[in-house]
Amino acid sequence: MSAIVDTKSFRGTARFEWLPIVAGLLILYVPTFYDLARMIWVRDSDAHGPIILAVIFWLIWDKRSVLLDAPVSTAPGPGLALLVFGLLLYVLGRSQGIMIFQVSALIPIFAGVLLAMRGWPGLRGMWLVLLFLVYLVPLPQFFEDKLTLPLKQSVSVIAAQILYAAGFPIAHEGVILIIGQYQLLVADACSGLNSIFSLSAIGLLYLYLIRRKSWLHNGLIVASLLPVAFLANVVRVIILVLVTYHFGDAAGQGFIHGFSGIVLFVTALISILMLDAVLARILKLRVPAN
Amino acid sequence: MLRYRTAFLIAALMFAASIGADIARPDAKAANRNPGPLLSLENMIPKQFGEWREEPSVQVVSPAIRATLDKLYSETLTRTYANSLGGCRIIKSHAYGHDQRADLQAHKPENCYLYNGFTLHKSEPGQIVTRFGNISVQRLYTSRGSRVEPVSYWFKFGDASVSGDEATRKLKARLAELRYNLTGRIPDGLLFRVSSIDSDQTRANDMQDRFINDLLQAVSAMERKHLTGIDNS
Repeated sequence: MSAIVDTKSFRGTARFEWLPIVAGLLILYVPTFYDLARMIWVRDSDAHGPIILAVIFWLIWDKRSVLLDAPVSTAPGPGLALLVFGLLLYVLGRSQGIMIFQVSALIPIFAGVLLAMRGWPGLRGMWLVLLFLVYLVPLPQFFEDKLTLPLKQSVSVIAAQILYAAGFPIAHEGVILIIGQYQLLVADACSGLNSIFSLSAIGLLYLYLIRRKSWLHNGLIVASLLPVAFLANVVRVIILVLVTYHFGDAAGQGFIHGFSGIVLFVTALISILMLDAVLARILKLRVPAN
Repeated sequence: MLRYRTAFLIAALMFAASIGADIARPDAKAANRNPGPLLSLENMIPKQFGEWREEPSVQVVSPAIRATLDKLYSETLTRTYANSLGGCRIIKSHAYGHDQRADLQAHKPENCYLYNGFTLHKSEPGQIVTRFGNISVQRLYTSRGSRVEPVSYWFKFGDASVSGDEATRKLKARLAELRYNLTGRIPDGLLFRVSSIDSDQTRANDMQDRFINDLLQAVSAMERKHLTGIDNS
């Protein structure tokens, strides 16, 4: 009985222990996130940012016992070293306006705080939060440039070939699709780079929530995230091309364009859910057979 | 209570970092405090110089792309020049980003050509030798259908008029470049691009170099610095 009382009273003080750290984090990151919301999250490629942030808060809440329970051990040495490294990265990023440094600094800062306050078990308990912090980092431009174009090109080529095989008068020149009298420029957003990131984040969260035991199952789902996102994007481009062809440019650029983004998301999510269900069946059948 | 001490130490470090970042932040108003004359590309680049003369040309940029360009750069200028001696034409295009806070993005000409359906055959660094100093450029060799278009371009990063010693300016230029590579934003910079429609790359590059040389001779030292970053006023 007294043990329980002790734990409770400890939890009470443990909350205060986090107060100065939370205050420090707020001072560091409220301005950064204000800038993020204003400059980065408005871009197509980083529109998933606010959702990821919400997921991070939820994950921390879900694992709050790691923070509130008494520490099993602490590792102040490595923790503070990591923290200082993260803070230096933050200073460089904040003073030079390099958002990537500011946001990625949050990873060593958070990991350092965890190590210093709750040791290696604390770090292990929050591993998914650290992984999702990676998704929060805006994509470096050179990386985006390198990936966007090949993705766009292959999406255009495949969409054009499918439509051509279906008998539509379509041709493509680079990333410009020509159908009938219309010319469509496959925009950066259509590369699917953004959907690849947000879909893989959501896929990981889904796996975390479902807690499937089979690593084979989890592995197959993770491996299918990228192809599914890519194919969903081809479907989206095909829909847009067909809408433009049949209903004109205004329809293709207007409401349907935004709506096609949702179609893409729903297509991809349903594919993943179906794959998960099918895998569950197959793997369940296999286990008793062995 | 050891952990309380750790917690306060962490918080103190965080506060220090926050203050440190504020101190290290370059004064955003630095450019405004020492404004200098307002530079307009339209006025800066003469319509006729040396053996070159502007040719009225059809705007090849579509309205949609125009809108994007206006969003990316504070000023863009595209002109076609014809050489009065030969039939050579040079398409010249500048983009100038002025305001650091406006989230300017300079997309590489490599991508610009690819987006417009061109094939990029080659992209290699080169040098344009001028009497004022050498300019490091990137040489591209692109084509779309039968149109072969060699390109030379350079970026001028940062504010070339920033005062300070050599090392400071170099560091600032490095940081500007780093920022550009990571975010695609140029704080104060200029993209200078010349291209010509010519299947002979060497000949095209020679003409482009001649064009640049003639242009740099035709403008003032200050304008030269603004265009190339070369400072020999």
